[in-house]
Amino acid sequence: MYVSKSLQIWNRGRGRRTEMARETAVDKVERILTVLPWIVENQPVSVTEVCERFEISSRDLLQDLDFVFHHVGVHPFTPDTMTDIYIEDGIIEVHLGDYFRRPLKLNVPEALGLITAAQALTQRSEIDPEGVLQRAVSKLEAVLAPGLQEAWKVDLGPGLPEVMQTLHEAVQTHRIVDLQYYSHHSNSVSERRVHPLELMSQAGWWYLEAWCEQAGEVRTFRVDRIQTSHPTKSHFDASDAQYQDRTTGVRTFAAEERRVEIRNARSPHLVEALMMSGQSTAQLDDDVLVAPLMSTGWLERVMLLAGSQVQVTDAESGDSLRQVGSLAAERVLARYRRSAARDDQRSRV
Amino acid sequence: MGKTDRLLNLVAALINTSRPLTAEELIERVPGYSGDGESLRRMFERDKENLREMGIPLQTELDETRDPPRDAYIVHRNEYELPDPKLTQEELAALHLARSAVHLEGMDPDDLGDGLRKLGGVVASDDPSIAVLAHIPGLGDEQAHDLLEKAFLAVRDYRTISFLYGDKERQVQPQRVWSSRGSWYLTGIDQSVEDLRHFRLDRINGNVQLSEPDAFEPLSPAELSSFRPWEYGAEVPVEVTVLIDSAVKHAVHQEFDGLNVIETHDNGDQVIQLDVSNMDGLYRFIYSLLEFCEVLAPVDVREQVIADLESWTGETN
Repeated sequence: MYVSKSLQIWNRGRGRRTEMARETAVDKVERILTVLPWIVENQPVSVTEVCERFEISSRDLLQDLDFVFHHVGVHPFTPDTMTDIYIEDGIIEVHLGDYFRRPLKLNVPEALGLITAAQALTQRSEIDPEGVLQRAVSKLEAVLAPGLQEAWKVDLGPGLPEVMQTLHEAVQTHRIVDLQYYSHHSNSVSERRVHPLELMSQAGWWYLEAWCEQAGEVRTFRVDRIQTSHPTKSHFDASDAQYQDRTTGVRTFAAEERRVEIRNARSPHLVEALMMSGQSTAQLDDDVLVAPLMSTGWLERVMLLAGSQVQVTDAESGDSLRQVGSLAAERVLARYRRSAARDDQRSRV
Repeated sequence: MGKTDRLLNLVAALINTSRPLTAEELIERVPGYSGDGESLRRMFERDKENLREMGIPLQTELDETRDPPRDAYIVHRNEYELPDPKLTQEELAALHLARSAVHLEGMDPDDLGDGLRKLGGVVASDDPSIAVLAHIPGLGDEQAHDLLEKAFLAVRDYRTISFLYGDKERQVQPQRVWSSRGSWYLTGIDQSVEDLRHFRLDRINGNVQLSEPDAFEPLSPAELSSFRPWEYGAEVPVEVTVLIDSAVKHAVHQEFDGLNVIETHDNGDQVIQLDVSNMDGLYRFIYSLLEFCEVLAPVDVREQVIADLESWTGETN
């Protein structure tokens, strides 16, 4: 066996490493079983590349290789079953027996995590315009979960495609954008010139965090309430101090939702299904469905389906919204009466 | 000899064998086992546990060539080895970006890193083409995250999943697991009603059991997206004709592929025929179209719809 100079030099420095004490044998075995097959498949490779790719220090890598070199093989431990490792001028070559050819399959949390993260982003073609991530997801599913196909889906939130695209580009290029924004609070549409800082999805809604010129501070906008967005020709300098005053991370926006409470629906699971199909989330507490109010048209459909005995109230004020259902029922009935009248006329003729 | 090399050599021995090996054979072949009978045994048992923790598919098979037959161990390559997904550098970099951009609550970020390393490592991109952040709510505590993993296994492997929902035991053939507006849902055929149902994962009260894989034939994605609620029921099938206005017909055909159009009027309105075995499902369809559709026949179904609408306005026939 041949041990390169660099490995020998590294071996001499061995006694100085102390912080490895907390790493368990299992951690180390997992790392070796992951890194080694990649080196074998891609060799010769440089120490630097392996370290960057696997996010490990060169000290750990060299220690692992030294370890494998000295200790790993299979019965009867003849030379052909042992491991040869050469490192010269920072380039690694490995000769292994017929084991550790491929890395271990991903376990469920690893596969679930990666597929969920990647799949969520591919739902918006504005984020993955070239389809690179989509191809990656297809390849991943092919080896990790061939049966999954369309069966695992994460929706990060609604928003007009052209608005999402403008904002995504503006965040990347620091471009100033003009928005028409519907404020739920004041029930009005305003024109705003903003400096987009971050586009984020939180609990299934997209939000834009941006410096608003009108407000003179960083504001959070719900993307599905942005009606139009036009990029201007100007850019902003993202390193300016005024943009730094913002909080990042988890936050809740639920308070601004107008919600309705639905009691006594004739078929709660059907109502729930209809709510889900119209981008909304219903929550069932005992026999009360609580849902954000999407639009009048949405509520009309839900109420007709729930039946006339249903009680729908504004969750905050407690006001009955029964009239929404009655008016919708009258409109639909009018249609049936018109056609009945036509039929009558026809039969008389 | 330390534990690390013992474990590595144990894995190598278990992969590199054509037949299952007994504990005695493994202890003999793998250097590093020492001590007397009982402590040796305990050492081997601990190592086996460690391998399983790492996710190594250690199989126990009965070696019947021995008298009496005894347990023997093997790692089958097809269960151990990750097939090469042949990801390009660009695709690996995109996955790396996705990993940093998306946070799934309850998920250990290290798992994503470990997964990526198995797939070929972490390739940084100079061009941050994904400029968003996303936080996907999980199911709360750690126990609930375990439910998400079970749901993943169920849809992936076509396993029937049973659980307590409300106070009722359900047995469901899962077709889709999805997250929307902050909640996770499972859509599947509830076997007690033979109908497609949606369940909120955070309302599952426990008792979660999975069947063996390949327990059912999944609906195709197309069937699932063109799910016709009026066809899933136990009622005697009735042919119902419905007039849909030309204004909504494109949307209707997009949602429900292959509807049976029996007549098209000059103004573009269409008459479609539905085979209804679930009246609630029919209501769901027609009320979602509000005044842009009308049940034509049979008369009793039409009358039933009219009576239902009149109950809103306080009129009677």
